[in-house]
Amino acid sequence: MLAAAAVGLVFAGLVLLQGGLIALAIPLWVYLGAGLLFGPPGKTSLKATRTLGAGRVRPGEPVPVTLTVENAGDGIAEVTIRDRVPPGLEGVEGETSALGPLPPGGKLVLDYTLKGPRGTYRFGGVDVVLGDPFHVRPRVERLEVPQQLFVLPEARALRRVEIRPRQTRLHAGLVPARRGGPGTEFYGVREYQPGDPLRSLNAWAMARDPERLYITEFEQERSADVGLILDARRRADVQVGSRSLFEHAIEATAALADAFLQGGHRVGLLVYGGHLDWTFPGTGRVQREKILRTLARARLGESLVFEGFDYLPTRLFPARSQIVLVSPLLPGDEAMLIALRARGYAVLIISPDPVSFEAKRFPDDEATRLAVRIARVERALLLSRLQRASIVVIDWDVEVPFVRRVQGALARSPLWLRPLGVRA
Amino acid sequence: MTPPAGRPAPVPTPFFLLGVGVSVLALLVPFAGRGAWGPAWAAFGLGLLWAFAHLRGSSSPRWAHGGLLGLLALAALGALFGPAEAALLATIAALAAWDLDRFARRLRDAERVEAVEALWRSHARRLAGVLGVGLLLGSIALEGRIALGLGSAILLGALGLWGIAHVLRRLGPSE
Repeated sequence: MLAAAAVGLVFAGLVLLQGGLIALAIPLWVYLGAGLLFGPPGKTSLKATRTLGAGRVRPGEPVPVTLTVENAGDGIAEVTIRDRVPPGLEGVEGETSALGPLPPGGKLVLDYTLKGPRGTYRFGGVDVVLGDPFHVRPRVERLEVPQQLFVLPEARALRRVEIRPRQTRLHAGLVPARRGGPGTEFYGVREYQPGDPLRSLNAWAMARDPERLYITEFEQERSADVGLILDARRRADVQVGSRSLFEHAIEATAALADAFLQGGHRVGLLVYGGHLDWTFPGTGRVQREKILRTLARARLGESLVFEGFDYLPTRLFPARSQIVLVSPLLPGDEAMLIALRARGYAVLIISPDPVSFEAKRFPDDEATRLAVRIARVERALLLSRLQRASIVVIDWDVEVPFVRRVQGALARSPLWLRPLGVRA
Repeated sequence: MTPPAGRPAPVPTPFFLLGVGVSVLALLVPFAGRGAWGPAWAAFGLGLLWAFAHLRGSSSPRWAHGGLLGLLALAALGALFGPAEAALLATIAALAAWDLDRFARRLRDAERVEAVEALWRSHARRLAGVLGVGLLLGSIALEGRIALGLGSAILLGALGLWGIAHVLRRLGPSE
């Protein structure tokens, strides 16, 4: 703009043969020339470092961030640094941009605090605006400082979750393996074989048949393969205001993964939605972290291929292992789940109830009550079809804390209550 | 994050107002003296609008650009029909006001300003120097008389054109 005005004055002076107009342009040219002369160095030696207070946090937990831009080269009259905060994160306090001079060896520091919802956030570069004293020709440089922040879903502690897959692993664990051997629970009585421990001799059985020796067998307890499937199909989700049923499903999956891994099982996770996100099965803390990170980046998706469960890649799960599906369930989903059960998988479904979740969105009038009633009947039919195929279904009203709901339905009952068929 | 509301006025504001005032006066007095009330009122109104927009903390640079261009146009008019010295003074003062307006906006837009006093001092020092040199060269151009031959005039003209082209090329599309 200034250059255009200066050129305009010179041009007008030449055309009108008025030296006074050209003289008026001189201060503008001096100003522009000085801006160029005292401009930032052509090649800068700026170095940026960013420190995150934590690399993994819970949703809403504040994360302090410190960004330092250091000048290892010539001095720069005026520098603006602006950190690019990943979308989704919001500032709690502090500043994400600053302006100041940057002498040789000097540094500009930004201290701020962020928080955000569940997700994986990638920090990119820092924008540095290098200005000459008059900002005649500012230059923008981007300093790359790649970093990641994981806002992981909260994994609430569940006590033991009882599962009974047909196939267990070789490692000791907590799942009754339907085999006699070392254990704590009674499995059966059989005739003594050489090598059996003498302390297992069953006096009552030998009293009935004094000619032979009998021993008590206990049921072996082993770990199992657990395949968690999180339903991330957009059409299965229900949104009420800013709340989403999917977020509840994620928290449930995190809690279940944590509980199974605590129980020594090998756990894999499949996020089934717009695409398949598969976390290879594993055990221990590292696997817990992998699963939580997968859950952090899980997003609802849409795909014609994965509209139903027809293309569920069952080969990912070992034969006759335990499958745990976390899904609100849609009509038509039951066919594949029943087929899975028929193939020998033990199937457990945690189903966040979309009907009661969505009902709150509507006014409490006669029409709503009728609609809710019809929806409940449809859902009850769907669930009963699954239950008839020996699939364990937990219908979960998300207003009830997941821990309480699952603890009541899936906790292992104390030994003394089991003969009575009473759950904990 | 946006800059906090209610931030005190940036340091250059009084000097900006001084620049606008000097520029307007340097135009208004000669115009009024010759009875040209139209340009005089135009200069006054333009200065008032520009100062008002600055004090309101307008984030748009259009006010600064409009103010400078308007005052420059009036200065050119003043140089054509009145004393060119006053027009030069108005130009210099308008340029100072334009620079300070932009500087104040940069300070306002940043969420935090480091060493604001040092930044302001060094900026003011450089600006004063540049304006001083501009005033000196402009005055010499207005007052000085040198006799040139045709060859020297062509050489100087070519040199001037080359200089302008060079500056414009270096500036690129940013200015």
